[in-house]
Amino acid sequence: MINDDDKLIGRYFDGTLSPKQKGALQKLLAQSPEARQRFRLLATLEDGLAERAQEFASADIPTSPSSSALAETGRLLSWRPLAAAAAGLVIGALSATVLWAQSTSKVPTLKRINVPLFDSGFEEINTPIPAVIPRVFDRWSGDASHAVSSGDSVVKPKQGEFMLKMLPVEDRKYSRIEQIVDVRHLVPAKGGRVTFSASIICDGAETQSKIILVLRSFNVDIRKVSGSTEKLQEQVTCETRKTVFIPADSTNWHIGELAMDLPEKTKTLVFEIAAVDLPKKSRESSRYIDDIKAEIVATLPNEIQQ
Amino acid sequence: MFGGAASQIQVFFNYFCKICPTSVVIQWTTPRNLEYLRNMTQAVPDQHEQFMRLLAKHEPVVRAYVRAGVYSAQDVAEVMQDVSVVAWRKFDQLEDHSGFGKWMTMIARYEIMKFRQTKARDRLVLDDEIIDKILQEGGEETSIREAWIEAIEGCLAKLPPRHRTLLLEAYKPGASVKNLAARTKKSPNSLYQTLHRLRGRIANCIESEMAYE
Repeated sequence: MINDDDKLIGRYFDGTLSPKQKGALQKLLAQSPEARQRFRLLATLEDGLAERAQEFASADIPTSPSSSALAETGRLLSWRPLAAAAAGLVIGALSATVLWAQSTSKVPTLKRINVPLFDSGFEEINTPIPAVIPRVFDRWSGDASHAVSSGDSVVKPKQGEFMLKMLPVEDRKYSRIEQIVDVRHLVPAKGGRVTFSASIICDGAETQSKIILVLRSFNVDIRKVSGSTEKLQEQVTCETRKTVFIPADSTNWHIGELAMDLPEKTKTLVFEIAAVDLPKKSRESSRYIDDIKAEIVATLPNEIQQ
Repeated sequence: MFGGAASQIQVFFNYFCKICPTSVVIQWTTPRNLEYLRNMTQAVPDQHEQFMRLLAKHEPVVRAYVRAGVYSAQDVAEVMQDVSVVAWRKFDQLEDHSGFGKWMTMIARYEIMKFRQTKARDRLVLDDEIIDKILQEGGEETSIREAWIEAIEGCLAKLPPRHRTLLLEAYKPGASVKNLAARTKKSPNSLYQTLHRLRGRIANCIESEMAYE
């Protein structure tokens, strides 16, 4: 679920939805089961927060604009206007605005930059995927529960000759892989937007399967992105996730994708894929991943961080 | 925990006083409702005790379900009154008490749609068809909603203290974004954006907990 959808739902619960936004929300909810579930989750959160707030003793909220709380709030929000700018540019690219932009040298242009994911198609069969600890950079790591497969008689790779088969982990409901990427030289100084997609197929699943794509940004150096996920949580500047539901008995590749606005000064991105509720015996059914793509949509290509 | 019939009634109303805003408690304790519940609970104390236990256990899950079907937090309390009364009236028809949560959710779905008929003119209320779809699917995920609720506390705790404070301030009874924005020297729009972002982080955290635990 991208942030724009969350924003619409949030506005609904805040009571600040415009009639036009109401129409967009209705369309979204009518078409997307994931959006409807997200709506219910946010409704549950609304109620949970209201309940906790009733018992919440009033705390001191800094009133100085220079306070640390507001400073951090400002930092959190600083990239938001860029989302609108980027959206405007996308629309602009499809309209007569392009003509105006071409004639006006100060108007930024749209540029797509591929994120150099290592082995995005899992073709490097001689490079095993290591366990997640210690963390590795610029390559896939995970739960040591994966196998590169050339497929069987039913499933063939989406592209190339190989794909990743995600295997169950003992005593766990999920199995995951991640790749930590240094993006300092890719992200414009004022942020941008990153997209992340993966092709997924679930073979032999008798019930709906769930794959989760997660994208996290950090403004710390890649070598400092270490430690457990919990410890890292405080350092995440932005996080987006998308749950991809694959229907039972589906025999087609599905593309799961998500997008996220990048905060300013993003230095590191972590791309994660998790398969949930894997069967204990891999022969019962299999989840395969292939053809992973990521790109950054930059609006100011001349202002790449140095 | 639950002694005689009189104390059970007291617990019952204390409970509702705790979960409902003051304005709703006044409405809830109208003579009609009060008399009805008093008669019913005194007549069947064992059944009442059982009902109370089940209600206490499942009420948060049902209330969260109701929140998805109504426009405002105030509406939740109003609908929950009706749901609780109807559930009590029909409680003796429920044979399998293990299905109480789902059964109460079904009652809630009906009561929400009935309640919405009185709100149909509000320009920002979503269409019945959409809400009914949301409720229909939500009725099948009672256990998921329980897990969501359980995860809220932990995910809220992961926020930096100042953000947690800001978020809870915004949800305090009687709080308004306009006033809170003035106190924090921010524009209301900026504050809405911040709150949206913080909620998104908690929601992502809840989904993460759901997926990984």
